Amino acid sequence: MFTLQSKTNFRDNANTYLKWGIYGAGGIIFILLIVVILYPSYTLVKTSFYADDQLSINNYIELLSNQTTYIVFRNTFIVSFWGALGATALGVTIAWLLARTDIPFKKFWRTTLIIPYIIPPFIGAIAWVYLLGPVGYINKFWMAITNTFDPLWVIYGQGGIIFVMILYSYPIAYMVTLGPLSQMNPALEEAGQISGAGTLRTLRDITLPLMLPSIGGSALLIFMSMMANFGIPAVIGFPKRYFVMSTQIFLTILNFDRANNLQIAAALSMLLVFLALITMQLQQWIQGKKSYAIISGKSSQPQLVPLRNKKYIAVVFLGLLVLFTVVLPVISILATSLLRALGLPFTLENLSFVNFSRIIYEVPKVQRAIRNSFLLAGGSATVIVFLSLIISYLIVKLKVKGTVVLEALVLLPYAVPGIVVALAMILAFVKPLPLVNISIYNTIWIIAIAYMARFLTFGVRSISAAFEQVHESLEDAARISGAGLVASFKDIVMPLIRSNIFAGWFLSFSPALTELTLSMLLFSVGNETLGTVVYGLHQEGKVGMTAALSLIILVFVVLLNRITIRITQGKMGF
Amino acid sequence: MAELKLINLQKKFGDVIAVDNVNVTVKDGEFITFLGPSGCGKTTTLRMIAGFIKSTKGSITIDDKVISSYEEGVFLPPDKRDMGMVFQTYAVWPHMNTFNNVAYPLKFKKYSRNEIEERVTDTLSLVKLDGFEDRFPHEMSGGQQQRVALARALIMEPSVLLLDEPLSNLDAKLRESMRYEIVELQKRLKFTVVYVTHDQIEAMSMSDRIIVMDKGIVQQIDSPQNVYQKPSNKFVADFIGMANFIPCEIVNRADDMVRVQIQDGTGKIFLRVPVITEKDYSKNVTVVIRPEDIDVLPLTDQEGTSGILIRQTYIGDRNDCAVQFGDIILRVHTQNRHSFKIGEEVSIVLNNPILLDT
Repeated sequence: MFTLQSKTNFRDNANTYLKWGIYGAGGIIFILLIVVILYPSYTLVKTSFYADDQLSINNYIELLSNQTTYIVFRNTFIVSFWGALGATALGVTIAWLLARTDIPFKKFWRTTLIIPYIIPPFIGAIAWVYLLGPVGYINKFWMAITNTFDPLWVIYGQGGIIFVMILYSYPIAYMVTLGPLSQMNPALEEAGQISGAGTLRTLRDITLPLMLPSIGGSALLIFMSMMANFGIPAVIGFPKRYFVMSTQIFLTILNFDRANNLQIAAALSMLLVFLALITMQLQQWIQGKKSYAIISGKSSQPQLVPLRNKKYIAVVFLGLLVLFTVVLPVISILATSLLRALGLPFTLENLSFVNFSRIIYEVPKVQRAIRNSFLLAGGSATVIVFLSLIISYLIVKLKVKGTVVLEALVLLPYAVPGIVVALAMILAFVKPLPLVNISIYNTIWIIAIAYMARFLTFGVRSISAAFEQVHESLEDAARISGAGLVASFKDIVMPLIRSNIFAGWFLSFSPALTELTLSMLLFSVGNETLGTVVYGLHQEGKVGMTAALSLIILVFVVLLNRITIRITQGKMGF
Repeated sequence: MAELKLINLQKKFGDVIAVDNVNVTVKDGEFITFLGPSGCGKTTTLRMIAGFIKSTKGSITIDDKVISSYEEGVFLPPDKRDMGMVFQTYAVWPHMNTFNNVAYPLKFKKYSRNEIEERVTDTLSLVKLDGFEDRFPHEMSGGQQQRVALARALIMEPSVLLLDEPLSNLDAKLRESMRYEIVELQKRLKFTVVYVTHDQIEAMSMSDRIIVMDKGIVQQIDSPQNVYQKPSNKFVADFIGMANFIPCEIVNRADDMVRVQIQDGTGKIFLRVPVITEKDYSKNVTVVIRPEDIDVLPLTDQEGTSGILIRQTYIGDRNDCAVQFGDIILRVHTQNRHSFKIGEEVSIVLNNPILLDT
C-alpha cells in the first residue's frame, strides 16, 4: 500500500535539499540586494551630509541658498506638471475613443499609438531636433514657404521638453485607463442617459468622475517619470541652457572644479528622491481609492457611443497623432541617416548608406558599444531571470515573512530616478571592494550591477504574476498523485510559466539595451553603451551617423517587441 | 481497503480554531461525508487527511499506521500517502492531454509503457471517457474535465479517495448523474471515500454516514436516516431538511416517552414525544417537527390542535403553508390539493415529534 521506502530516499533528500537550497539562495540574494541596493542608498544619504570630509548640512544650505536650485526646482515642476497634464489628457482621450466609441480602424490605432512607448525617449528627442531644431526639416520648410529666416518654432527649451515628453508618455495614461474604461459597468452610464444626460454630459458627470482613480493614478505615474527623465531634457534643454533637476545633478557630478561637487549632487539627489517619494505616496493613495466598484462582474460590454458626424474629426485627430508620434520622427531619422551630408537637398544622388557603413566600420566606439550593450543587456537579463525565479518563488509559493521588505528593495532602484541610482553606485563603489581589493568603478561591472539592480523589478513582477497564475490546486493535484516538490515544480509549474520567463527576459533586456541615464555616468573609455554613443555622436554634431545608429536601434527595439508578443501569445509586450 | 482514523484532530490558525477535536473511525469501504456550511472546517479536515495541512493537535492513522501525529512529530507528505483526491476546481493540468493527466500518478510507480497504456485505457473506460486520450482540457466540458480528475485519482488504486466538493461546479442535471456514477464506482471497486460538501442532498444520497460540522465542531456522526430522523441538536435539525422548533416544557416522563406542554401562550396543547437517549432533560426543551410531518385539515370537532392558516403557497407537488396557534407559527408542507382560505381556522395534526434539549 505504501510506496517502497528505499526507492524514495533519493527523492526525499532531493526535496529537502531543494527546499533548503532555495532558502539558502534566498538568503544569499537578500544579502546581495542589501549590498547592491541598500548600501549605495546609505552611501548616498550619508554623502549628502558630508562636506569637506566632515558631517555637516552645508550641502543643503548651499543648495537652498542658491538661486539655481530654485530655478531648477521650478523648471522640473513646470515641465512635469504640464507634461503630465497633457499626456494624461491625450492618453485618456485616446482610450475613450478606442474603448467607448465606434471610431473606425481601431486595430490600426491600437497598434500604432502604442509605439511611442517602446521608443527610447532620447532617440525620440533627437528625432524631433531633426524636425524642429534650428535647421530642422519643418523649420526649413517653413522658412522656404514664408521666404524668411525665421523658423516656425525651435524646439529647444521648456516648451520643447514638454512637447516631446507628452508625445512619448501619453501611452502610459492610455494603457492604464483603457482597461477600466472598457470594463466599466454600462448600467452606470445608462442610468444617466435615462435620466436625460446626453453624451458629453454623461462623460462629464458620470464617466470621468468614476474614472478618477485611474486617471489621477496615471497622471501621477507620468509626473514621476518626467521628474526622473534625463534624456529628453538633456537633448532639448542643454542647447538653451535650460536645466531640470536630473540634468543639474548630472552637471554637478561632472563639475570637478567645484568643491564638494559630489556631496552637493548627493544632496540635490536627496531632494529629488524626496519629491519622488511624495508623488509615489500620492499615487498609491489615489489608486487605492477603489471604493468605486465600477467594474461589473458580468462581461457586458458598455455600449459604444456613436460618433456620427464627429467621426471624421476623431479620425483626423488620431491620424495627426500617429503622424506626430510615429511617422514624422521615424521619417526624419530615416531621411537624416540616408543623406550623405547634412544640408544637402533630397535628391537621389545624395542618398546613400554611407552613414551606416561608417558607423559600423569606421567608428570603433560604436562597435564596442554594440558589443557592450548586447552583453550587458543579455547578461543582466539572464541573471535577473534567475534571481527573479528564486525571489518570486519565495514570495508567492513559500510565502516567506518579510516579503514587503523584499519587494520594496527590488522596486527601489527603479522607482528612484536613474541619475540618482547612478550617483549612488559611483559613491558606493568608487572605493575598492573589501576582500578582493578591486574597484569596479570605471569597469563594465559597475554598469552591469547597476542594470541588474535597476531592471530586477521587471523580472520579479512578471515571474511573480506567472507563479500566481498557476493555481495552488494544480500543484496539490501533482503532490497527491505522488510528485514531490521537485517533480511538481518541474512537471507542472515550469511548463506553465515558460513563456512568462521569456517575457521577463525580454522585458529586462529591452530597456537595458537602449539605456542612457545610468551608463552616462558609469561608462568609461572601452565601456561605452549604445545610449552613450548615440548621445555622444549627437553632441559631436555627427548628425548622419547619429541618425543611422538611432535607426538601427529603433528597428531592433520594434523587433524585440514583436518577439515578446509572439512568445507570450499576446499576453505581454506592446 | 483501508480503515481511516482521525483522533483528537485539531487545527488552529493563529487564535482561530478552524477544526476542533474531530474523532471518527472510517470503516474500510465506507462512504463518509463531511457536511456543513462554508467555513465549518470540512475542507480543512480533508486537507489534513491529504497532507496539505499539518494538524495542531491529534493524529491520523490508516490501518493503524500513523501518517500524521502532532504529538509524536510524525508527518507523511501528500506524495507518500497513497490517497487519491478530486479537487473542486478539477485541477486538470492545461498543458497535458487527457492521457498524460491520467497517467501522471503512474510515473512514480515504475510501470512499463504498455502497462501504463493499459491502465489508462481501463480507467478512462471506468469513467466513460473512452477515446479521450488526446484531448486537452480546454477542448473538454466541465463534466468531462471532472471525469479526467476522477480517473487520475482512481488510477492510483488508492486506499482512500478524497473528494472536495467535486460536483459544485457542474450544472444540476450533470450533478445528479455524477452522484450516481461515483457511488456506483465506489460500490464496485470498494474503496474508502471521504467526501466533502455543503449540499445536503449529495450527502444524504451518497453516504453511509454523515459527519455534520459547524464552526469547526462535529455536531453529529450518523447514518443519513438518523441524522434526519434523530438529529442531535438544533443545528443538525435545521441544516438538514427543514424544521419547526417548538418550545415546550416537560410535564412528566415515562421510560420511553415524555409528555410536554407546548409553550404557545395558552398552555393548552400537549404532546407525547418519544425519548431516544437515557439522558436527563431539563424542564425546558425544544420539540422539532418537520413541515412534512404536519397534517392540515378542515376544522373538525375532534380532539387535536387547531390554528389559523396565515399563508398558503401552491408549489405544485405540495402546499407550502404557515399555521399559527398562540405565539407559535409552524411551517407546513401538505400534499393535499385542498385550497384553504387565508385566515381560516384549520385542524392540525403533529406527527413525528423529535425531542431536543434547549
